[in-house]
Amino acid sequence: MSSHQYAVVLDLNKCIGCQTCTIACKKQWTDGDGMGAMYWNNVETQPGTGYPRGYHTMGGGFDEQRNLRPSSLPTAEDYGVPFEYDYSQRLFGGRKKPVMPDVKPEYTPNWDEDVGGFERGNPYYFYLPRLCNHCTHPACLEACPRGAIYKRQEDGIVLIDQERCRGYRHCIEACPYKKIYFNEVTGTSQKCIFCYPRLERGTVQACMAQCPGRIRFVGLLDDPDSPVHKLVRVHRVALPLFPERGTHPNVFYVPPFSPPRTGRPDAGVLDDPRFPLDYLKYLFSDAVVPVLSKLHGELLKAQEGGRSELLQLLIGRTAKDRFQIVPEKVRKATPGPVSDALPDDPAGPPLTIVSTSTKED
Amino acid sequence: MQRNLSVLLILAMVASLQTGLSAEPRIGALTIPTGTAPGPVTGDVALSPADPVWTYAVPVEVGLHRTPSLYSGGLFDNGRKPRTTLRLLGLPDNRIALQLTWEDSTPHSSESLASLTDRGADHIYKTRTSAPERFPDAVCVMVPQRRGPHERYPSLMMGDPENPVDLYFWKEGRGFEHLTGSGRGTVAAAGADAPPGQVVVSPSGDGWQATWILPDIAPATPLAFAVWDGDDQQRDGLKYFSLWYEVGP
Repeated sequence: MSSHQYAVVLDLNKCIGCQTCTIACKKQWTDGDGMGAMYWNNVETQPGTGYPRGYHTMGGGFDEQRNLRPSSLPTAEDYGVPFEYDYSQRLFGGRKKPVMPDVKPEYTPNWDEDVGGFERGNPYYFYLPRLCNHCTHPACLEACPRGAIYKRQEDGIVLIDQERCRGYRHCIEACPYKKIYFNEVTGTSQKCIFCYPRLERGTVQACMAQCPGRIRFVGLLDDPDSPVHKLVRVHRVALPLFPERGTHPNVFYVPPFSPPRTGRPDAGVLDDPRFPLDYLKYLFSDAVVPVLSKLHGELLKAQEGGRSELLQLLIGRTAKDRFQIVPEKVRKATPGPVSDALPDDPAGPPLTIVSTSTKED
Repeated sequence: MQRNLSVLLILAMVASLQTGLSAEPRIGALTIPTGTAPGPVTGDVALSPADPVWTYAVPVEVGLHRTPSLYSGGLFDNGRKPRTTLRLLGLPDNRIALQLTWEDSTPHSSESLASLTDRGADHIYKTRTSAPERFPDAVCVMVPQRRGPHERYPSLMMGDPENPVDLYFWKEGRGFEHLTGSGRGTVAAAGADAPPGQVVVSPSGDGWQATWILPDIAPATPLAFAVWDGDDQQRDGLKYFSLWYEVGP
């Protein structure tokens, strides 16, 4: 476990599924050879098959005895074989036929965009951005026999040493989120590096910086000044994905809620939910119910003219409100008192609190 | 008294286990006779598996074993063990040529990188992903860095700190690598000054045939072998391995 932990909160009520984050990451990091199917960040329509296809039913993570759970490896078909359109033949090669993909597309990232679910005349979907969770207990790290995966002590970022990795792919099997990818050209496994070179210069991650919906919050989970600390630890409205997989993710989601399904003015989001509660529980555990109630209560308060500190925080008007990148604080901070989070808190075990004596940083 | 005996017994078991992990006891040497051709044999000739010079080397069957499952729910021993034969041929300058032939029902299990379409810089996908779930076949011969006879063999788990090993490794699609190891998880690329080895591997009948030329092999130097069946998702410690054999006269 690291002394301090960078974490992310994604407000699913604000995600518009534009994939700007996906492309920002792709252009920054995974534009090279062997990275065609590699999306360190992607956005999925939920309910949906996800990326790679069916990752959430493949296995991985830990069982209740803290043993690694078995899993299958995603296949090339689960990622989808990348294809291109050969425009040159149509425009300059004299071919009259329509421009077609050079490989028959059978699956891609975002394959089932906006399909979602359908229940009693109620179509519904929402968008779920996914990236490496930089887990507090990374299953990938435990699965690697070579010790090629490590968690940085100073900020909790999980990285794969490309010099040590020999491409065994136990990490891909172990990751319940299948957010590690195999590069056949380098023969190594690769994953989100949390934009650590940007972070160390005080610059926010590419996916965070580019998000037009301003859904992304980032900072130290154990820093009382950071927005993620407030959303996860104080207001407790952000939840990890599939917490039962036992890795204690550090990417948290403000679950989606929307007007009641039938628009009954007297019905709350829990009385007549547009998104079936069972599905949200499947993703975020039963803890989603009190979170939705709290969010609904805050919304009512604001609608009645009151001021909701939580909703103001979630609006995230400025970059300063959403991001707290503090390389100096990470470097200088000394472990302080243990936070009040409970060991069985879905947000994970308690971490030490960053000393606030370096506020001037 | 009975409790003290139990404690002693446990301590003795732990001690023997540690000894077994750090080094392999030398229980009756398995010796491979080294063939000698009538005239001097060049490396190029020895690397040609069909060359008649190999008729001077006596084929010996090598017993392979399956590693136990490393992870809960992981791969288990399905009872299959590939039939494997080995031939040794003496070469000038303390070198030996070593030919290992082993069964593999699918010796072309993994698409080699060379066959992946190179899309070039103008394309979005420069080199495509073809099969991230498939593993290549592979083979390795392990030699202690201290050549010659051994009182105790190095650990079969990639050597040990007192007895580091050279690993002459070949993986389908990626070719030859000279590695070193001093225990499980320590395998790394050999330094530039390490004694060079060569290997040629090609499909052969119902399997593969690998021919190495290894430098500085004194008589009685121990050798151990491992093969990986990629179709069975073998990689890392999931493999077939042999006990130590000695280079015979």
